[in-house]
Amino acid sequence: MQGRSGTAKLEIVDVGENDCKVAGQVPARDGDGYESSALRLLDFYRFAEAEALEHAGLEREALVSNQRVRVVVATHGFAWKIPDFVAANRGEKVDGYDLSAYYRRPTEGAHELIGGDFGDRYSGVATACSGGCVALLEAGEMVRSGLADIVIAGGVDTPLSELIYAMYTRMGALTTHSATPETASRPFDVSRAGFVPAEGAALLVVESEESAEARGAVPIVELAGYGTAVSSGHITAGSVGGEIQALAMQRALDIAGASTADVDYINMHGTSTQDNDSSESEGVLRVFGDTAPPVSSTKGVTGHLLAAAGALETAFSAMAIHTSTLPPTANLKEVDHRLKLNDYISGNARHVPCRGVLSNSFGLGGSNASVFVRKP
Amino acid sequence: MRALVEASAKIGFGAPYELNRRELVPFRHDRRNVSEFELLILACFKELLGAKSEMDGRRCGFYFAGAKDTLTCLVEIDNHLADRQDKTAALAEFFEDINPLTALDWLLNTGLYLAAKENVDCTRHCQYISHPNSDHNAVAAAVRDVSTGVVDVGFAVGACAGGGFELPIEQVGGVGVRIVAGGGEVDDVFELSSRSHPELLLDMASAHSAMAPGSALAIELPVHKSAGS
Repeated sequence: MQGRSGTAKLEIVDVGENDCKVAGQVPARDGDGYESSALRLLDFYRFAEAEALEHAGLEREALVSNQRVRVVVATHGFAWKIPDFVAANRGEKVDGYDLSAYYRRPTEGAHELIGGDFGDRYSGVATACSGGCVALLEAGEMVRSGLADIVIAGGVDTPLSELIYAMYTRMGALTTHSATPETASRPFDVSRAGFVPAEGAALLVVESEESAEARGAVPIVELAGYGTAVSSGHITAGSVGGEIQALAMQRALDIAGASTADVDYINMHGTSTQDNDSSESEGVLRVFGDTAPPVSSTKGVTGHLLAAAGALETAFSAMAIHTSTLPPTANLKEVDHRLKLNDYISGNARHVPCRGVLSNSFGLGGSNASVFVRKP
Repeated sequence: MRALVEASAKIGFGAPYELNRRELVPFRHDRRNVSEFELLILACFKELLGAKSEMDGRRCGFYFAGAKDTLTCLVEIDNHLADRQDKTAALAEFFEDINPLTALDWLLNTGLYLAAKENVDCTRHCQYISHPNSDHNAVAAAVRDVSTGVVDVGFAVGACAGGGFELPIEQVGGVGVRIVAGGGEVDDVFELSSRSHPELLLDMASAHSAMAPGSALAIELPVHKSAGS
């Protein structure tokens, strides 16, 4: 909330001569020493799950045996597996059969360990960077349709690896401000030059009103609406003029029966890339016109957690309502004059009443999602 | 929670098939980066779409399932790096000629391309991966969303492809169902239950294709009651 950046020089992996050496990384804890990024992913998940359940006043064991409880977790799918495989076989030629054997291990490992207890009540979601938001949408629909009383939903990602850095660098998507790691992620700024990869997990407990009331739980916010929309004109770019991003936002408001006047803040996808920040701003302008509420991107602080970003930012959105505090965009010194929204929050957090928040997450390949949370 | 199977499709799984990359992938610049897994998803999806006019004015939900075959790419990357000391340069070289996203599973979103090309209104989409229940997840979501009226038509499509290693031909293919809301009189009921992907979709498609034209196959998604209800 203070807009203090948590991105730093990349230390947990060696990315060789890659120019980008900055990341949002989870500090080492006692007992670290992961055999693979799959285990790191699992550890993040377990940590976030324990914290979420404790906060919600729920016991995991009781949830596992309750058929009315489900789990939806977004990851980058195989992204965490690839670097492990490459690292494990460095220096040796391999064939498909080696890979076949390796292929089974982490697949059965990470997702089975995350969700195995829940059987077919577990869903592993992968829609790229919109994943965390889509997982919350799935959770909302499960509760709204009557399939579940409680859903543990969110995302977890561990993308820090040589291979992932190489791929994003090739795309031109990674920050070129590596020399100043703390200010490398600068959404909406005129000098923004790509995103900062980050790792972590964010999980939320989505519960029906009846279930929460019955056990005396006090909700932080209402998961009021969610929308998805598809922009498939280009494999990596957003839709021209933000048209499809706008559709996702509008659908989220429609499901909630809300209007633009009910939105007091937008937590933007705001990756700090030229394309996203531009098309997303245009999308907001399409929905809200001149009455757009204040917006910010918390990725200036956290970097981009990819599949976990949507869930983390929905949690930030919930806390904006709960604490009446709108987070600023870290490292935003001079708004790019081509971005046309009126109020990009920079500098300090803004302490104002907040009734409803839209949180946007957009994924490569055309998956756009938006979640609307409001005061209960 | 009950819905009806409106159409089913199955490609491969022991039967010979040919996939037309040019026809299935709308954008030329992406054609070479679309793997067999995605082509199978697209081919199945296209078959399920039927004539475009069938989808006019209907809100659609796409629910894809399966593990993408990034495997070919993985083998290529690994072998490319094996003899190289300058790893960074080698990686950059490798990605020089291909879309860097090829190595990830994100191109599963490719299924959405076809929707755009066919001008289908995709109101909802999700993809379920890396878990033995992924096709169960996809079908359950489709039944859920047509039942609650979020979408008019749900497409649950899954695929399996070998990629970097040889899968038995019987295990390679794409399979899917087109689902709509409905109850009332039906000829058969298929209850959703757990089994390893893609067996659920295969069994469901087989059950549907075995029925006489005009017959109605319902899918039943069990809903457990709340402790308090």
